[in-house]
Amino acid sequence: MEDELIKIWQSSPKVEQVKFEKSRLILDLQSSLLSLSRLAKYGILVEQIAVIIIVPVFLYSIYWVPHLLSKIGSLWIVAWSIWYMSLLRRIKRDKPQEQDQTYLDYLNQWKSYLGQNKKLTGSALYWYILPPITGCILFALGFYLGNAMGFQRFAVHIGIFLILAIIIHFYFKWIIRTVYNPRLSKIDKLIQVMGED
Amino acid sequence: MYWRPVTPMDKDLKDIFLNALEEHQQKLLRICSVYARDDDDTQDLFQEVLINVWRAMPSFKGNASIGTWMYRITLNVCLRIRSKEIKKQRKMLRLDSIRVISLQNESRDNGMDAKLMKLRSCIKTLNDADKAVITLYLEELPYKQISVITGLRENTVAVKIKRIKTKLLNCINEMS
Repeated sequence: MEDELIKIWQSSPKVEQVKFEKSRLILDLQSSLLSLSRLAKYGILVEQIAVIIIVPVFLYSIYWVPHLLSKIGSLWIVAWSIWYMSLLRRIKRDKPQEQDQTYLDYLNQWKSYLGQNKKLTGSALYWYILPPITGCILFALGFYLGNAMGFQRFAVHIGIFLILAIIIHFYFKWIIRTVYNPRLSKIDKLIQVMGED
Repeated sequence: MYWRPVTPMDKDLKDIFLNALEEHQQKLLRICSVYARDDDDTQDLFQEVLINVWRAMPSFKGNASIGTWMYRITLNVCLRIRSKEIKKQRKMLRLDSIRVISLQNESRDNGMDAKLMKLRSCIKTLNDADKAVITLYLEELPYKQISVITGLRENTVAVKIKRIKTKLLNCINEMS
């Protein structure tokens, strides 16, 4: 009777033939998302390390710098850094996981995750560039007004901050164009191709 | 152009995938059947398994046999995706690239069909771990391979199989 079980089990009708044509798209997207995950992982790590270094330095400078504007600038940078750290943690936490979901759900999760991050990157001028630049300008302005820095040196500092801000702004635009848009379009295409009955 | 050209790696992967699939698809499908509610559900689950196997192909290192590796993925997918979840989605994932097609229309032994239905029903009453072990046993996989796939010790597998077989035989007799 025990062998009979095996015989019965294997008597299931053989009704299947698998056709396989253009599933390169799945692998293509998989490798694309994997490279993005790696990039994001190291990017977040680098930013977190930078924040860990910045916070104590500017905390100390609140105590150390003489001028009030520099103190406010330092405090502003510390507050922004702490907020930014929490944002990085949230981005890391919200990354799609492959648990208890179908592949379609997985694709939709990635779509929503990338969509949110794209939006966030698109508005980086207001939360990533302007706040720390404002802090840095206040910090330098304190030194200038406190006569610890000449006008020329102050102007050079401001110039560097502004150039950095412009470079970062266009870098983010480039990230949206080369990182987010192609992946989102691949996901859309895959959902469309695979979702058709 | 959206589709990138076929690379040799893609072709190798595809060949390995298709060969392994040809050899194992019936077994994988039978395993899916005990985690699904009905035939449609089985096919949906099987599609999901194929997609997961295909996606994982680049990471297949060849440490285990490809069959063992595919069984492991199949069980993982079947266990993590509940059939009710699949049913909830009215529009289930459909791959035009991986399609299951009916081939066989030959007449079948009704008596055997009835027995098969009973066996499937009885297996469905088991818990997930027991389902995994017994389906692999019914596919005539050696204890060692079942142990590698499920992560259980060989002795445990043997004891479990003995106990589940008794349970199944009792269940089938009761249904008769």
